[in-house]
Amino acid sequence: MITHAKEAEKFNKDEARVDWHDDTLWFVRQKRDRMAHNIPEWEQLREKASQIKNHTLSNLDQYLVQFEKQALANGVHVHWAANAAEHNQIVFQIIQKHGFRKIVKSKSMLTEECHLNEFLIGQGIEVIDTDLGERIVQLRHEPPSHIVLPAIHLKKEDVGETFHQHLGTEKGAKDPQYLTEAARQHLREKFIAADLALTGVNFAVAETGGIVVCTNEGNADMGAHLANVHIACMGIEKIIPRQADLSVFLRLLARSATGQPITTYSSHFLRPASGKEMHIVLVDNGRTEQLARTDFRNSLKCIRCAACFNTCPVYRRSGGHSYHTAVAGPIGSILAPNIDMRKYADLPFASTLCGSCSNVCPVKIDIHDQLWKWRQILSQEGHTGTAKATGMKLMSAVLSNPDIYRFAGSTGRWFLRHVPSLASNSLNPWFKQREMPEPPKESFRDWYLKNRKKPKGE
Amino acid sequence: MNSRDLILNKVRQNKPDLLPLPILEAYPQGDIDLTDKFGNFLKNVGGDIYLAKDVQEARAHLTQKFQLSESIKVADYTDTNLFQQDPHSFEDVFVTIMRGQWGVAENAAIWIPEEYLPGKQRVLPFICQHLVIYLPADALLPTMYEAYQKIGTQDFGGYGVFIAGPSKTADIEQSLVIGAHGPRSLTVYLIEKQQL
Ligand code: SF4
Repeated sequence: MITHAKEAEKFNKDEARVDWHDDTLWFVRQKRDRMAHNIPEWEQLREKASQIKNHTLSNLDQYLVQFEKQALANGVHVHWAANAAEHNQIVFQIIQKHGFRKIVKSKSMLTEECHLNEFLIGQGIEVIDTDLGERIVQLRHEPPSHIVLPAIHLKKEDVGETFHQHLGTEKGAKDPQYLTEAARQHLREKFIAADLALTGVNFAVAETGGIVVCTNEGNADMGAHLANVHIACMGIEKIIPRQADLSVFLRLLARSATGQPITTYSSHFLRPASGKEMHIVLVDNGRTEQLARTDFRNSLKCIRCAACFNTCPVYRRSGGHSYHTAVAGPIGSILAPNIDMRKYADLPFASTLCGSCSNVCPVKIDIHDQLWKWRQILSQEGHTGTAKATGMKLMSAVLSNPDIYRFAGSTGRWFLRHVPSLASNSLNPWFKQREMPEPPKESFRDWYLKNRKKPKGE
Repeated sequence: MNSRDLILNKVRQNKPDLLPLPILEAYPQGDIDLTDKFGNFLKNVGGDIYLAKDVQEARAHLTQKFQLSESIKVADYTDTNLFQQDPHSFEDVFVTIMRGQWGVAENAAIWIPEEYLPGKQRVLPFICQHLVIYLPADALLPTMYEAYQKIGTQDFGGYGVFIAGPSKTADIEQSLVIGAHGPRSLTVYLIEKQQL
């Protein structure tokens, strides 16, 4: 069975690369901070975004119906898919109806979730990912490791080698400018030749029936405007009520994602161009079940900015592939167990519960609380391994009894100071690959009791 | 039951009690110089900006800048022959020149409704090597909030786009490269006289 811990161990073999991965994502996180701090109303915007999403989920059926009605009136075909298989069939049928062979895709985590590429390629269709990072991983037969930066696990030397093999760039070439230019030329040919373009959806506006797609490269637009048919695939949670709500989300999205003030392109598709065809596929695939889980439903507010990835100490040091699911990171660790509890039982444990994810989330999802709640459920349902279950029981015994907690804390500190090797035994997987921190001499509580200002008369 | 009704029924059953939809509001941006802010952000996202008295001045400047000549293909918003063409025929367009409706100071995004696209050709701002936008100097707004108030829900055509800078990527080791799939440069002329 694949687990995060085992996969992370593989990723951690190359220490220099892990350090680079860690630093690079932290740099993105810092860019996000600078952007957020420059907007005095940042916290109000987060609150607004959160409320809009909460409201939308509480009225989702009506908004879906309204969206469908408007989209149909705009001359767009609307399809509904209960699960991944149905989604893939719908897309394939549209392709088949026209007798198409070549399609270009821009980024869509939903189609990753549904494994659309493998399915279509199996049917003899040429499927080309056109986002540069996605094209790189596609040529390497790898999944994306990050929802915004798909090839962040690779170094330019890796990309150089891949392009040398597939695009005929010079052996050993690794200049990003040169490699990007090679991809530009290669993908232009694909755009020109494509019969059909498939895109994701960042936001779908119930009021207008329009969809909005955000990219920096311009690949969604190159594809959609050249091909005769455009299919946009979206999870049903992508709906927002009003067009003006975009002002809140577009102010938050790119700043949270990459520390840009906005993506280069925010494209609003309302009607197909004359003589062309446009389809929207609305996909459930487990979302309605997540909606029923009171503790987890607000994970459906996610706008896929990946700020929670970039800030997560576990993600940064374990890499996206170790999560063995299309959406990695903290949010992926909440979404995946909903789809398959057994297969993804390890993911809610791939976190320190430090809470940094919840702090940066632009739509205020209580990510770390939900990770903790999943742990309870997974333990109750017997989906956790022995080591974690033992640790959990001990932890909950310790945490639920203040006296033991204080005693255990001071004992622990004593042990760490005097016999540090004991803590690194095989029962405690957290300490693999880690230097033990210097333990504090006294706990915060001890320190506080000693140092607090004594009230008068005490 | 078909998937549509199945999904809608499940949503109906599983959704929480109705929560209120918040009212959107403007956030005062203080005493800012919109032109200054817009220009700085545009430069930060890799764009070029010039102030021009009128369209003629802008045109003269860009002819120089891009060394335009008979042999170089330009798609201009005044050209009415563009409407009927196959988008694939724009593959070799060197410069696209078009108008923008609103500019947003907080992020240098420029709103382009469909009718502002040369020949209503959606691919033109993307497929060209260089993009030029004429923007009225008095069309600057502080934030996206004001922009969507202006856009409203009135019909902007079948398509509209905010463009902020030239196309770019940082997918190889986070090194910024300008000119991904779309234009390699964006030049904005702020036109003083409203005569677009
Ligand atoms: S959970 Fe929040 S921070 Fe994470 S990707 Fe979604 S919106 Fe972004």
